[in-house]
Amino acid sequence: MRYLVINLFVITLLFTGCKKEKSTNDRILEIVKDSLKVEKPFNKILILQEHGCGTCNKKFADYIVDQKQNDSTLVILSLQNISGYINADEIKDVIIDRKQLFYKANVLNHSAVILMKKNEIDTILNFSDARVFNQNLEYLSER
Amino acid sequence: MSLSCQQDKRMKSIKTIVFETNNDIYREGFSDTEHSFLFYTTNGNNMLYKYYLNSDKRDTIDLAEKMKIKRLSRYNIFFNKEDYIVNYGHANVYNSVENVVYKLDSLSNYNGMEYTIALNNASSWKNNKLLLTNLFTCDLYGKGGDLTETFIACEQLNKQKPSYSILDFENSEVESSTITFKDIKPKTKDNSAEIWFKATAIYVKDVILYNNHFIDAVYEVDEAGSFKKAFSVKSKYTNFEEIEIFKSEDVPTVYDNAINYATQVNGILYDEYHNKILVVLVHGTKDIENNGEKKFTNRPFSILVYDTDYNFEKEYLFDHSKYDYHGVFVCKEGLIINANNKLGDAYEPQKLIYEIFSY
Repeated sequence: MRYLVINLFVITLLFTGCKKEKSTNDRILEIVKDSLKVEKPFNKILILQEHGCGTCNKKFADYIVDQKQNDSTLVILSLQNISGYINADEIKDVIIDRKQLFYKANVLNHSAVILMKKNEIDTILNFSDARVFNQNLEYLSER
Repeated sequence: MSLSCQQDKRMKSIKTIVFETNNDIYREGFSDTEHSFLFYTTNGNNMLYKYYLNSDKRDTIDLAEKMKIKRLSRYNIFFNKEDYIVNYGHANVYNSVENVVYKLDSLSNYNGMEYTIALNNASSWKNNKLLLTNLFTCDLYGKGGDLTETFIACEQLNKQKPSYSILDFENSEVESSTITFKDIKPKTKDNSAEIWFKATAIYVKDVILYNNHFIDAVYEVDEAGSFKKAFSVKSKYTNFEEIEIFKSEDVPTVYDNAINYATQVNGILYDEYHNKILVVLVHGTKDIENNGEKKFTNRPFSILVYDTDYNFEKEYLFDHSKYDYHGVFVCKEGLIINANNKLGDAYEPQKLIYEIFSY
């Protein structure tokens, strides 16, 4: 009986020990690749959301329209009320996510830019604070 | 939230209503009238679309044209029968009956206050008077000094100011409430900032019922302004907790966490058909780190039923993610509830989906 209990304990430990928690980056990539079906590699992914800092989101929407979008930039409009923020027809590579998958999964709760390197997330620039919005935008322009 | 093993009371769903909008929805709701309707607005073109429940009739209102303004951006709207109120900017209220925009910041006794109808409802508009939640601004901002200290000082000041206002359309006057946050929470701490601005006020017969959403009590205010605790808000599923800020993190994060995860009331309704008072209570999320996705509208809520003597009668649980606690309205059959929660697993964009319940 004692061995049975020990064995059960060891097996439980093995199973729980092997279970690897997904990181936030893994979960973001999972949404991009599996849920939104983005197959082509991109260097920058711009994600516009309606949650978080309202002023930042409005400014970020303007930036998305004004920027010279190149082939390596993808825009994801992850918001229910797209017409309230932006005209999606003005954007070249755009994915519409009205189900707000990033916010729903609690992995990104505001607008952000994902900078990619070799198909992995290198940096996440958060546009959640109006006070540093311009600094983040400058950094983004330099990349 | 740990759900009890005891049998949960459920309201009986008697009908589902679905309308395709083919538009992004900005605001939506329901009006209980002779020919009841669902409505939604867009903020691309400022149009309001009405879908009548018992006929194929559709209707539209060009809000900007009605209000004689170029464009509406951030606004709130609710209907009482066929009439409606629009609140936009920090102090503008449009009343469709009078067809007038009331600019409350032009009143002689204006004190920098902001007003909102966001958490009020059709019962907040009665006898040509409208209840508005007060959102204060603070004179201390922009005068230098430590920002956190200024914020604390402002919060302390605001807690001692009137919680709501009564806009008297007939006389173009605004009267402040006697009740303040400090009255309902005298032990409010100096180093914490409970969320004093999320609140609902409605008319029930001759009195006003007022609740701060993070406090487990509803207050009755009579015509003279005297107030008393009417009843406690209690649930078998959840408890109210103290929310303290400045212990860690920044203020917006703590506010976000409170609104997304804390137990809170989201509205009080008066059901004149059953003569009941209903409280929409959202259940808090435990262990936020591991249940981060159980936030905002992706959480169970209850409808608590009280009689008009404030005796508790029943608690009905809504724990399916399709229901959105922001869309709970009284109708002749009982309640009509938004069943297309934007954070729900079954969310269908560009659709109005509502269910009618009897109780």
